[in-house]
Amino acid sequence: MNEINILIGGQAGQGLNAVEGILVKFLKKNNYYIYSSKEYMSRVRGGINTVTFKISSSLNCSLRRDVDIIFSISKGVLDWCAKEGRISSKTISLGEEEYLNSQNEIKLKKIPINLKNVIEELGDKRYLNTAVAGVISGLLNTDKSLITEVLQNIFSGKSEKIVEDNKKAFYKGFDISEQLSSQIKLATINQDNSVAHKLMMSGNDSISLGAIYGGCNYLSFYPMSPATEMASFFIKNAKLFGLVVEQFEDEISVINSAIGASFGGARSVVTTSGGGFDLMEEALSLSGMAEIPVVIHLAQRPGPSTGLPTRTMQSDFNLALYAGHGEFPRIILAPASIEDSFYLSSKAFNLAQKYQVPVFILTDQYLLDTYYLLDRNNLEGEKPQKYYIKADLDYKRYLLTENGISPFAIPGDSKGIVISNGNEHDEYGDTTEDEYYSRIMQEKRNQKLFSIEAEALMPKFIGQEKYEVLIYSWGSTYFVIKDALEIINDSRIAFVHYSQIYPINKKSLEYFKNARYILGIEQNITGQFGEFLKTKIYKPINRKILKYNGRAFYLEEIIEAIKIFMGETYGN
Amino acid sequence: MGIKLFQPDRPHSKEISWCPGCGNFAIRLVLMDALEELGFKPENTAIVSGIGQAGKMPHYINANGFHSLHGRAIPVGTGLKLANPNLNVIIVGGDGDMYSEGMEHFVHGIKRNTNVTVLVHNNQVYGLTKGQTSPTTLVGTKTSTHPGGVFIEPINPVALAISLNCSFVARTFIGHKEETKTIIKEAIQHEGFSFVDIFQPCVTFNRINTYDWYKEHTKIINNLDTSDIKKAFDLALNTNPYYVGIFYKTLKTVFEKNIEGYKDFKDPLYKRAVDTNLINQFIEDNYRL
Repeated sequence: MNEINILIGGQAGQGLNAVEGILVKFLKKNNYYIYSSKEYMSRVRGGINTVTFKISSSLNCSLRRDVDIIFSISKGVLDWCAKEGRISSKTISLGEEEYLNSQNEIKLKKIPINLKNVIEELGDKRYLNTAVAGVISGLLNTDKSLITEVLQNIFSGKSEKIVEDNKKAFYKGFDISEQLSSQIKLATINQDNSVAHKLMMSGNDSISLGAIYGGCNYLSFYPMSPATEMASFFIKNAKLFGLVVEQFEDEISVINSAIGASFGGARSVVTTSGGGFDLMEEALSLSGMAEIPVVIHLAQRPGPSTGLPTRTMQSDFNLALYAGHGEFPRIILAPASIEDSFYLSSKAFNLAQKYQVPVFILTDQYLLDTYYLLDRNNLEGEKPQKYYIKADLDYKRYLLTENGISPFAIPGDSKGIVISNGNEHDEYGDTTEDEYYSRIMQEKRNQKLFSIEAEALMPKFIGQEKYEVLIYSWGSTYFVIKDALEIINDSRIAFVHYSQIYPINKKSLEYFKNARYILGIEQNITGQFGEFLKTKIYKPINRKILKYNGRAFYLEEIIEAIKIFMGETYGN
Repeated sequence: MGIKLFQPDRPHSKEISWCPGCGNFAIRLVLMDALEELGFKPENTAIVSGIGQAGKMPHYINANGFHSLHGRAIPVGTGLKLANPNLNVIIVGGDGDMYSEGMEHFVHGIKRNTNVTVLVHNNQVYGLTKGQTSPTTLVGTKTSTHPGGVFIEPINPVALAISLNCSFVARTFIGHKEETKTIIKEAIQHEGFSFVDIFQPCVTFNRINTYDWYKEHTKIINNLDTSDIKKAFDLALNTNPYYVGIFYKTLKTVFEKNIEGYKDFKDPLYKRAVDTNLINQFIEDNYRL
């Protein structure tokens, strides 16, 4: 597939997001498929942040390592990209002359672009971002007049002069790069009219909208990367959708308030990351004991401790699985993609209410900060189901039932009262140390796991009926593996991807029985999910392909690692 | 006098596990009376408690109840109130619960100013965990933590609350039942975060702060302008005697009345239906670009 991979790098605070915003909209208007993903430092000013755009003629959802064009809007970008391994023999570097110098010698073609006069002319350095977007757009076969509509949309409510000046900046950049066309040869990308009907959405927005679609109406949080964006989305749209949102004093109060809200009938979510979630563990256990639903959006970043606050990792599966004292059922979902984020986020609330358990949505910085074009039809959610009854005067919150699920009632909704309890309790919810209740209530809670397991989602399976090598993965690595396997095109390899990682659907274990070799791909150092799978499949895992440097997997890395395994196993 | 409507009849609600003579018994009776006299019903009242002897309160009352975690009753109660502002939410805990494990929630609860009532059973010692020093244990008291006597100055929760401009601040002694009931009723009716510190003896672990001690060391506030924060603070700093009564009242912005989620929508959250058309339109408007 033809594609062009463009990286823009600059300092935090320089406005990379603005360049991204303009480019994404403009390229979509020009009927190109776009994929965009970013990596950034944990700082407000300075450092090096980068955005990678991929432009293609069909759907394209995985991060590529080698970039065709690097555009530097500050010093140090080339050194950074070299260390990150993003520069290939074909990479061309653009930017102001001074930004093309690097401390270490880097072999690549450098083309200076003078945009300083553009800024001087227009008198505001923010126009630089628009000019940069112009330069990049000029390298591609695009209709520059379409920028007017884009700028009107971005600056709606601002003065006409702002739109006009931005347009001038964009045109300046665009015209500069048209003169460069003889020096820069890029792949030909076909435009596709169907792009107009696609949606451009980030993982963050998909998770947030999915939750609202699933009936979520209460969000509590304490700011923490990369989990805060979901809260920002809720805050921005609280009035429109009737959402209660509050930033609490710490993560302890965040989850306790969410549990209190759920007790009162809300569909509540907390959004947090590793360290923040650590503080929530005691209340997670309360949710398990009191059987009060709560959804936990756990946006993963590398730990331990503060780790790399703005980077990505899949190292909190064990945390989600084992957090909280005592024994109680839980559900852990891990969206494969932006589309899946919407679906699982909506479904999480039904699951939480139906089984009255904590439900995790495990995402990561990569998934949340990535955008690509998607089909409206693929953005399907699960509508909220009603899982509560009216309490009668003899209502028993913890009524013993065959499947362990007691009918849930909401305080104030009827004459009966509702008692919830974090201590061991009788059926009414009152504390007791009676031997019978001490035992039967453990069994009741545990019993729910069997129903949860019975409706666990099947993993996605890609492959022929007969295969030798089975690759497993979970969460946000879906597309990069799928795309790698399409390129490798080896019918001996099959791929099983889990979006519900706990409990897993038992039928999916069949896939492992049929495989001669098992290969895991995860973004953590121990292969946590693989270790968990081992206890189910009773088979060794022949290789784990692991990445744990806080950067998302690149397509090239996956291809290389699989090829190495195949070569070693089967010979070339 | 009531004690009917809020008198529970559940199997494990009758055998009350407080020590004989404990001040909690009287607080329970006063609270049930206050609720009934104010015309509340069990179904529109919720008692949210933390952990400790006071935390057992929901089990001994016929009302919605949530016996939650140590220190966390305020956030749980806040979430409940935000989910359904129609509920009368009473948050109950002890001095360890509210002033130690839950202190930050106490401070931020005052700041947030949701319309809830916080009752702190302050017996100046840990009861359930057997006699350790609490945040309000007086200097000189011998506890299992400080067998030689406590030597650190205790927290003054009433002065702290006033310093934060808490919407309603009172202290009572459960030996004064009628006064306590009047104050609790006023606290519940007050719109905003209402805080009542209730002196009560711990008959098992606190040999100093007995019924007689509290009688001798407390004085009922007379003729105080409860809108004067400086006078209130001045009185609150006084520890010999400890003043009891309403110190301070002020009407402030109530959190749940001013949040976006309740501007165009008035129903409690559980009654809100998802408008899928609105979501679809939102997607059309924002993501087609």
